[in-house]
Amino acid sequence: MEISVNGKKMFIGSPCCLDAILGNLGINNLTPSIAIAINGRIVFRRNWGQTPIVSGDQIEVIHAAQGG
Amino acid sequence: MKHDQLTIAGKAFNSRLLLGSARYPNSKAFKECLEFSGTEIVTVSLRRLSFENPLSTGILKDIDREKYFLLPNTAGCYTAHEAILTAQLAKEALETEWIKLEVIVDDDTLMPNSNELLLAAEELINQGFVVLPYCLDDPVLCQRLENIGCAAVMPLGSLIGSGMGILNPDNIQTIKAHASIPMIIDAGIGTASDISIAMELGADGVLVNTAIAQANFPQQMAEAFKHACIAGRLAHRAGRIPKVSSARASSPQKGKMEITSCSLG
Repeated sequence: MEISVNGKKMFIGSPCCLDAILGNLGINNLTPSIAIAINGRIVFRRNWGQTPIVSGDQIEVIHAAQGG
Repeated sequence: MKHDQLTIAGKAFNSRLLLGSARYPNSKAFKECLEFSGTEIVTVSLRRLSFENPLSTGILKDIDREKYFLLPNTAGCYTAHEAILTAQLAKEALETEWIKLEVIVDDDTLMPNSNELLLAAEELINQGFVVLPYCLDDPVLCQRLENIGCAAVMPLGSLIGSGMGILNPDNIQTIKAHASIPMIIDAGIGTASDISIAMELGADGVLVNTAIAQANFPQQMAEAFKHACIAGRLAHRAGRIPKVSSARASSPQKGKMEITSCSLG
């Protein structure tokens, strides 16, 4: 099934949880100073392990960047 | 003036100059500008993490959070929904409830969308955020933002990045006259005198980014802005003389010599 992470398409074989997707990207529960939204809603860090990812989900992984 | 601190939502700062973190020539220049400006508050945006190069867009490596207070913004948001989500993400990522709330109309003017701004501000305040809204220099709007519980108002001096200074000083003074929360001028600063003018008009602080970051010598400009901010604040508190349309001699008439006219030869 197809999902997107930060605007890039990703294909995953079977339904899984958010933390598995993040793990493939080198992110885990201890990665500091980032936050996640799925389909326009925040997913709190404490829920990464229990959030199912389904086809079409749009995941955003954000952090602090330059800004005025 | 030792205790003339800027207090926002109960938190006191010694510097009244706030700095943005974008568009500096390099990270060394940015860090030096933070130091030379004397700032204590630094704004950041929230953007996508690059998985190819996670440090390429990150800014936290350049900001000592022990020394500088982070103020995340919602730059680039067009709707209340986007701005609320961005504020929530900032809180989660940076562990702060403070948010510089920006909701813009379009990319050309970057003007604030007052309707969406009010909606977002109200919701975020309900969620416990400390909201500092970037807004039009509109005294009525600023009063509404205060009434719904914003911690400060941040009216624009002129368009973001324009360097045109304070285009509507009367409005700025009117906003300040009615506000019981801090008024921080955000956007439009071009050079040091703009900051002094803002502070002389009664601003409690000024936020600057491009005018320092894009100056020929950013570190020097940062230092100039530090002094301009202090000078403007001192002048405001000292109380300027009223403007009059006729001359007033500063040297006394009393005791002036009486000299009989005679020819120079």
